[in-house]
Amino acid sequence: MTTARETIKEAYIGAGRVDAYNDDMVRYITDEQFGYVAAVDGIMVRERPATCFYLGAFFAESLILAETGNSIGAIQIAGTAMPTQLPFFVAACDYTLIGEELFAASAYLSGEPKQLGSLKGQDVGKFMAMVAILIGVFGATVSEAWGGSFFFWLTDTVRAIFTIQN
Amino acid sequence: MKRNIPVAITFIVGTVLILSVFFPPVERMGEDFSIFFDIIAVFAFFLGGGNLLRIHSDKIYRKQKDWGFSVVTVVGFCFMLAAGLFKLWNPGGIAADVAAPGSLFQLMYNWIFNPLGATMYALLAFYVASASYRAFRAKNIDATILLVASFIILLGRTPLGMYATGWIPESFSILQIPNMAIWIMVSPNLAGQRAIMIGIALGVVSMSLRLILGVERTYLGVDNE
Repeated sequence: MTTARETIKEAYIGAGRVDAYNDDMVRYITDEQFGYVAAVDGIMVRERPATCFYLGAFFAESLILAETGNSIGAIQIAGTAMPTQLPFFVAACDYTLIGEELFAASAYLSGEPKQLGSLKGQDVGKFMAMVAILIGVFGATVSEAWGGSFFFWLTDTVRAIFTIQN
Repeated sequence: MKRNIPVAITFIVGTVLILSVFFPPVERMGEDFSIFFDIIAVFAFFLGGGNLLRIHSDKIYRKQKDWGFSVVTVVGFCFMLAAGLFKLWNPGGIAADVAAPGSLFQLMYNWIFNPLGATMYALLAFYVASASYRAFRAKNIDATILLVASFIILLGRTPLGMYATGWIPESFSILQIPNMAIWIMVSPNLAGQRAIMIGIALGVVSMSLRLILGVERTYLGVDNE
């Protein structure tokens, strides 16, 4: 909580509105999933914020929060790396950061060359994944249609690279 | 100093946790760091509980707007804490398990806390209906595709789908609604999900490297030095 307070305080200082900050803005609610939802929904309905941000890991609470925000007419911006919760945010929010966009947002907004370079690195990674998928699809198709140990080996190798083994 | 120490801690912990996956000698250190995290989390609960009491007590004392809700929060918190800490009505006494059958803590958990959580969860059914209504309106070609796909999935997951299209010959079985629903789930849906997951994995790697190398310092509240 101290870290969160520092982060928010620095952000207010950065925006030149340090007078608008007070420590009680950042407070503990609960670590219970639906207790948290009940509290945040209550705060939203009572205080009627103009904008709601939902960024991070979400589970069943995503749609309850987003629909409550929608019912009070707030502009909603969501971002999560949980694929199962993305449809709920897309349906209920005005803007949604889908998967990798959540991680890229801060680098993109900072405009720093070093951080933007990491986004380029992500794109290179995606290109490599695309090439591997194409090689894997080609190898699997050829090996199924005409056989050939080389194509079986090729498919297995590509699959092994992208398989997590416990 | 205020900036450099957190960056150094992030670098050391991040590097050790990565190395612990690949090098068995460092594996133990990765586990130790996880235990350290749990220990710190325990203290965070104390701080959190204290913060909760302070904020709501202050609100009650000043009779701020909606202070009645704060009374409910403080009373509920203190009552549950006392029931667990002093093991009130616990058949086995103070030495027994905190959640022993018949204890006040367990009764409150089962008969108050669980139903309240279930009530919040039940709201989801209504919210799914309202969100679906908005999302599935055929406003444009994308929304129409979404509407048709969802309609097929809904029918495919109920006996109605089989009753309606069960007469289609086996050679055209893909046109049976349950089979179409399965195809949508395992082909276009899974392909889309995998694309998102590949992007997420690369995003996590990129973000982790930025944090470990100290390139990204927004978690300290600053964009750059």
